[in-house]
Amino acid sequence: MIRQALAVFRKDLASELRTRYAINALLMFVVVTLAVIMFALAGETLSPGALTGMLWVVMFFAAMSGLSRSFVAEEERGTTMTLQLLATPMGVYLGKLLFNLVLVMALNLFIVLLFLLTMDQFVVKQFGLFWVVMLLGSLGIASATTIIAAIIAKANTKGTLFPVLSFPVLLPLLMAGINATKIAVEDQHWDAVWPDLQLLASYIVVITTVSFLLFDFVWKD
Amino acid sequence: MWWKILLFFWIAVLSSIGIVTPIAGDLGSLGMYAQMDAEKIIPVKFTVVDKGKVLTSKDGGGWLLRGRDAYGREADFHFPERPDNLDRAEGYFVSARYDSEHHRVEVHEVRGDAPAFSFPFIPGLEERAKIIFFHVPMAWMTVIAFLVSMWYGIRYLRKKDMEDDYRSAASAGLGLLFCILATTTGSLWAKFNWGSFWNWDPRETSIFVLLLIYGAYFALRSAIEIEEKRATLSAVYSIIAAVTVPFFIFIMPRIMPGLHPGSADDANAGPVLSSGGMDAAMRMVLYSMLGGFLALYIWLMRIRMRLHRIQLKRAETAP
Amino acid sequence: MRVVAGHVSKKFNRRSVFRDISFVVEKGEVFGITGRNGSGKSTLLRIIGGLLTPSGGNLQYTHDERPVPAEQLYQYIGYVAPYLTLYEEFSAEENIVLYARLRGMTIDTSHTRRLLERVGLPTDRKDAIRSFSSGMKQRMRLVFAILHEPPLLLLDEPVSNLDSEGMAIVYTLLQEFRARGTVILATNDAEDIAHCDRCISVEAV
Repeated sequence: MIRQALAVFRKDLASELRTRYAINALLMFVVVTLAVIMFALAGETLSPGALTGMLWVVMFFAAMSGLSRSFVAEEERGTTMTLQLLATPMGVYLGKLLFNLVLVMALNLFIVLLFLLTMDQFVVKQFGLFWVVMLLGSLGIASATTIIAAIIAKANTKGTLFPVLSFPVLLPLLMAGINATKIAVEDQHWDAVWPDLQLLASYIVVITTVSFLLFDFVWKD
Repeated sequence: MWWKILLFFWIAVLSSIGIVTPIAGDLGSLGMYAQMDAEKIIPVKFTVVDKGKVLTSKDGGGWLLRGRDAYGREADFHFPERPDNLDRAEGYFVSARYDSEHHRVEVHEVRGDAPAFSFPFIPGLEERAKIIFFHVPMAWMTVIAFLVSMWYGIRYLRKKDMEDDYRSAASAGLGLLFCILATTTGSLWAKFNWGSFWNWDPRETSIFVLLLIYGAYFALRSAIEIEEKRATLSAVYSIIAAVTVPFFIFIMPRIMPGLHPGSADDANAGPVLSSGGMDAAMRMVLYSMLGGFLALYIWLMRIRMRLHRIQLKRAETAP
Repeated sequence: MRVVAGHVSKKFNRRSVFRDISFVVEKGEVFGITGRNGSGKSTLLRIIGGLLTPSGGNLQYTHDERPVPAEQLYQYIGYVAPYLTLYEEFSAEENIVLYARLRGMTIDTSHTRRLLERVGLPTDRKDAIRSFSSGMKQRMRLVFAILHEPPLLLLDEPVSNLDSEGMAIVYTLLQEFRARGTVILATNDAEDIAHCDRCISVEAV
C-alpha cells in the first residue's frame, strides 16, 4: 500500500513537472491575488491581525483553485479506470493525499514568503509558532480537500462545486488556523494557542481517518 | 388519517397557548429592574394577604394592599384609588413598577384576575420569550433531519438500496426547509432583541454552517447524473460534513461571545434556561411543540415517500 | 483462473442494461461475449474486471484452487479496451516502468524492450505516447495488460484500430494465454469469434 502510494505520488509529481498544468497557473494566481490586495489597500495601514485574515483568504482560494487537480485530471483524461486496474483504492488515496500535501505546502510557503516580502506591516512576532501553525494548516487543508476532490471529480460542474463543498468542511480548520496565526503574529503566549493546535491536530486525524474509510465508495463505480 | 387531524389540532392549540398565555412577573423581576435603576412597568401577578387601608394624602393617597407572589415573597402594593374588588380570590394581575423611594410597588393599571396559567417574566426578553415555542423546535428538526439523512446515507452505502437514498434526500430537503425557517425566525427576532439581524453568535454560526452543508449537499446531487453514483457520493459527503460539525463546539466559544441562553459564558441565563431549568409551564409547552414538529416531520416524510413511489410507478408504466 | 458468474444484472438509473447472466469459464478457455451495439458487452466485461459493481448477482474467481478476494482482483487481470486511456504525457518506456512500479515489480531495460518487441512497437521512441497513432496506442494497451502475466485476460474489441500485423499479434497472445490461463473476449468481429472456444450472447432488455 505504501509502495503503491509512493508510486502514485511519483507519477503525479512527474506528470505535473512535465505538463505544469497546475503549478504555473497557481503561482500566477497567487501573484495576481496579492497584486489585487496591494492595489486595493494602497496607502492603508492595516493591523497585522487583519493581514493574517487576508493571508488565510489567499491560502484558501489558492487551495481551492489547485487541489482538485490531481483527481479531476485522472477523470478528464479518462485514466481513472487505468489507475483502478493498477492499484488499490487505499494506495491511490494515500498517493494523492501525499501529492496534495506537497503541493499545498509549497504553495503556502510561497504565499507566506511573498506576504513577508511585500507587506511591510506584516510582522510575525513568534516565528517558531507561526511555522507550526502553517504546517498544521497545510496538513489540514490537504487532508480535507483530497476526498472532496475525489467526490467532485465525478460530478459535472467540477470547478464551482469544489469550493462549495469544501468550505463548510474546512471552516473549523480556518477558524482555528486564523486564531492561532493571529496569536503567533501578535505575540501572545504559547498557552493561548494550545487549544487551537490541539483542534488542528485532531481535525487532521479525524478527517484523514474518515476519508480513508470512505474513499473506497468514491473511487469505485 | 385521524392522527393527522389530531396533529393539526395539537400544533394549532399549542401555538395558541404559546402566543395567548400571558406573561406575569413576580417581585423578583420587579426587584431586578429596581437594582438596575430602571423602574420599568411590567406585568405582575400576586395574591392578597391583607386587604389594606386608605392612605392619607400625606402618604400620597390611594390604597395600600399587602400582596404575595408565587414564590411567597411579600410586598406593599400601592393603588392610586381604592380597587373596586378587594376580594379577588385568584389574586390580582396588574401593570406595576417598583417605587424604591417608598419601598413599595406602584400599580399603574389593574388588568384583572391573576391568570392560573402564565409564563414567567424574563427581563430583557419579556413577550419576545415566546419565540422559543417555534424557533427551538425548528432548530431541533434541522439537526434531527440532518442526522436522519446521514443515517439513511450510511444505510445506502451498506445495502445499496435506492429507496434509502431517496429517504436520505427527502429528509435533507425537509431539513433545509426547517433550517431556513429557523434562520429567518431567529434573525427577525434578533433584530428586535439584540439590535441586528445577524450577530455571528456561536449558534447563529452553526445554523449558518448547517445551511451551507445542506446547500452543498443539494448542489452536489444536482451535478451528478447517474443515480447510483449520486447516492453514493452524497452519502459520503454528508458523513464527512457531519464529522466536522463537532469541531465547531470547541472552536466557536473561543472566538465569539455567546448571546443565546445556555452559552458557555452566559452568567445570568435567566429563568428560561437557568441552572434550575426552564419554567415548568414553558417547558411543558415547548416539549409538546417539539413532539408536534417531530410528528409533522414524519408526516411530511411519508408524503414525500408516497410521491416518490407514485413517480416511480408512472415512470415504469410510461412508454 | 476460473470465473463463475451467477445471475448478474446491471441497472443504470433504474434502467436495466441486462439481467440474469450466468456462465462458467474454465482455465484454458477463450470465452466470447457477443451482442448488438448497446447490449452491454462492455458493461459486463467491466463487471467481470471488478471495475463496476453489479446491481444483482455475484461473481466468483478461483485461481490455483484458491478463491481470489475482490480487493486483490486487479492483480490477476489484464484488461484491454478502446476506452482505456494510458498516461499519454509519458513515453512508452516510462509508462511501462510506471505500471511495474505500481504493481510492485522491478523491471529492467531489457524486459521493457522485450515487451515492446512482443507487440511490435519500436523500442527507440522517447516521445510521449500522445503522439502515437491509434494503432500504436492499442499496442501499448496490450503491453499494459500483459506486463504482469495475469491469469485472466479481458479483451474488449482487441483488434480495433489494428492492422493485419497487429491482429496477428493479438491472436498469438490469445493462444499464449489460453495455454496458461483464461481469456474473455467481448466482440462482434467474425474473425475474433472464430478464435473463441465458446460464446454467449448478451441481449439488452
